[in-house]
Amino acid sequence: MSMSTNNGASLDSNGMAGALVQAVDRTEVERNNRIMLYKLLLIVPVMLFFCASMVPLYKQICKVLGITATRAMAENTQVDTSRLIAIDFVANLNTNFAWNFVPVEKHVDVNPGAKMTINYRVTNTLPYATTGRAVPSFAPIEGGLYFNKIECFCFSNQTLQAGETRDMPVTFYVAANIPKDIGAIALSYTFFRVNDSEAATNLSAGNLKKAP
Amino acid sequence: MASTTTLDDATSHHDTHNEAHADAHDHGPGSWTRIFTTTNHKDIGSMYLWFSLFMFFVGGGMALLIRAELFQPGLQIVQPEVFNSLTTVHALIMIFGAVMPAFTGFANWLIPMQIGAADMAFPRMNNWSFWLMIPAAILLFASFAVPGGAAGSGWTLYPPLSIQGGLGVDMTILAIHILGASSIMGSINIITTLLNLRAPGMTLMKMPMFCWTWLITAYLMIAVMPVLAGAITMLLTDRHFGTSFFNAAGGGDPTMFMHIFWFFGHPEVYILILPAFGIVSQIIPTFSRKPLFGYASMVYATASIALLSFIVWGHHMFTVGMPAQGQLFFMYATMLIAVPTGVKIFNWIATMWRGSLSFETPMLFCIGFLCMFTLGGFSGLVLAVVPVDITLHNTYYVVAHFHYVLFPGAIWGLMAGVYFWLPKFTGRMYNETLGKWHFWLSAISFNITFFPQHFLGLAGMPRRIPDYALQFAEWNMVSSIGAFILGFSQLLFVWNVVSCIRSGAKAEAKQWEGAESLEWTHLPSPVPYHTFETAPIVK
Ligand SMILES: [Cu+2]
Repeated sequence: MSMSTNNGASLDSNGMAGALVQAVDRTEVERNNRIMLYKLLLIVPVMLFFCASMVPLYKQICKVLGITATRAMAENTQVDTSRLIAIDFVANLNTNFAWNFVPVEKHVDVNPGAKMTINYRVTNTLPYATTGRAVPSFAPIEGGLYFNKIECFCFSNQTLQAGETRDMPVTFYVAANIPKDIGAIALSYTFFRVNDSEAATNLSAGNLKKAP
Repeated sequence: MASTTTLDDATSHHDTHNEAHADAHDHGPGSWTRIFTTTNHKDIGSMYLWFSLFMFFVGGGMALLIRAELFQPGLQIVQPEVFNSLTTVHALIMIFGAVMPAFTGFANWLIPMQIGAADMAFPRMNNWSFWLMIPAAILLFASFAVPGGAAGSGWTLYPPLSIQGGLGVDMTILAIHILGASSIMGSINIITTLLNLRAPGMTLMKMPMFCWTWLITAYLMIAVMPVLAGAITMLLTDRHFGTSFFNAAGGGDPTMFMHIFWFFGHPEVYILILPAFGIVSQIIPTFSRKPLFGYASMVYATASIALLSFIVWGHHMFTVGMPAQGQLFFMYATMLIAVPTGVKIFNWIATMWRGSLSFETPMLFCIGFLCMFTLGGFSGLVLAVVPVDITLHNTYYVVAHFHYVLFPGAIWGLMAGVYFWLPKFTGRMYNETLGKWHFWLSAISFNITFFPQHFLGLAGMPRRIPDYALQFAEWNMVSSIGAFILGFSQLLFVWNVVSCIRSGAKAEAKQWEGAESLEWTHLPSPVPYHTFETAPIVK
């Protein structure tokens, strides 16, 4: 009982018998502590597993609760379903430009306000890398005021390697406030060849060397 | 030693426990070398507290560097990369190095005494959980010296920035792993002690509030630390082993890290505050000379705060483009937490109501805690509103908010605890006048530092930037001046503690007449090295 002498408030006055009882109690306590330790340690792998399974868990919960619409995918409420606008796509090449340039979809009918994506296909038939640039135009001209392009390849240099074919998308919508008297719009692109000195200011040296 | 010698044959585990005790006695309490081998909960408690005091000043020094850089627009003192590292490591040190170890220090000192146990349930593991923190701290400090510097991604370690950083990020990740392991061991120890070692008659609903808040905090820690470990391990494999958990280029999703991180992160903020609630719940009744109002509702409120903390993490990421239903859920769930928190504030005020109050330093810190923490809670409610948060996200308003809950919340809770229990720990009294100076200087300079940051945030100043637009100059200057007063007035605290230990007036066993827990009613001051070797009977 040497240690109890340090023990101000709770002196152990039970003597040897008390000590024995206490010792038995303490083995019991040690055992209980150990069991508790294993139980609590079990939480660690469980939570690690939970962490690892968060992706499928989220997917499942969102599916069950029907939580799918993010802000980006919110429903477009601006579509005017009462009318259709006929859109024609035209492709032109400037003189002496030996590329092949065609619209993949030549014609679509679209509700004002609805988003639409079509493609143009361009092929470089020359035996070396060439750079071109497309310029759009509309008919009727005021139709262009209501034709909003979200994504387009025009006005920026397009460099194609020898024989390369590329699909270039145009994403657009026709403004919902388009006047009733415009029922059709034609969109025409004309590809111009960018001369080499101009291309040089815009392009990497690698492409330049291939050009004659 | 007779009572425990019988035990030696029973378990080898206990062997070392006794040896360490014997060892400590051979060297005497004066021998400092016992800190390496000690398994005594009071030794380890003190070691935790000194460690966290040291880290508090290191983290505080970093904060002052940050405020010095922001004193005026332009780059004066540190490069932007270093600035980023400073904000990151300041947060990591304050959270994992100062506040959490300080609470664990109090848990070690107080829990065995308050429930009438001789020591913690796993004394050797206790020693180990303390010493694990030292290599972690060294890793964090050393990361400043490696090429690329310390992690600069903010303490949240968001990818892709944390995937791009240098060796410093790896060292930070390793440090957090180690600290996490230390916290888990500490928590297991605390839960086992509280559930298995209570004295006869000490039922769960008779435990002092500090024990209750720690029981709940410890469960929170075991539950969320592995989640953090999982998240940063994935970060590590993304960095070095070609996985793409969070790397968009490989099909991963950086938002996923935010979800996992904040599933840890929100409960973490309650880990930082609940033990302070416990300390305050013991000090306010003492100096009101009334029992705590609504003890049972305090316990249930603490438990419901802990449970709710698992379902509100989305409020940290309202701007990532989550579904509107998700935003609404997280917004209402977050606001719901104000209810149990309000219950607690109400109970503390009701405890003081018509009490015979006296305003010693610990009580001053607790009243300061009540006022300032409530303010921080309100700005939290403001930030919980989705449309408001979308404009205030990542501004200084957020910085003001969490410093209002963490400094007067966690830190003042700890300061109050130190002043309150110092007479019990050391047997000597601190200097009351100096303590009051410490409180008032802290209270005034804290508000000078952080209140203007609300204005800066509302005006749109982003957080984590070393330079800013001219229109923010005035309030930044005010904030920096406040920060320096705040920082240096903490030296009064150190001076007070040290002079109390060395030459304070003799303290009584029951220094505070209103104190009712076992360490005050059953033990002398200073408490002896071994207490409650025989459990007291609690009526
Ligand atoms: Cu949160």
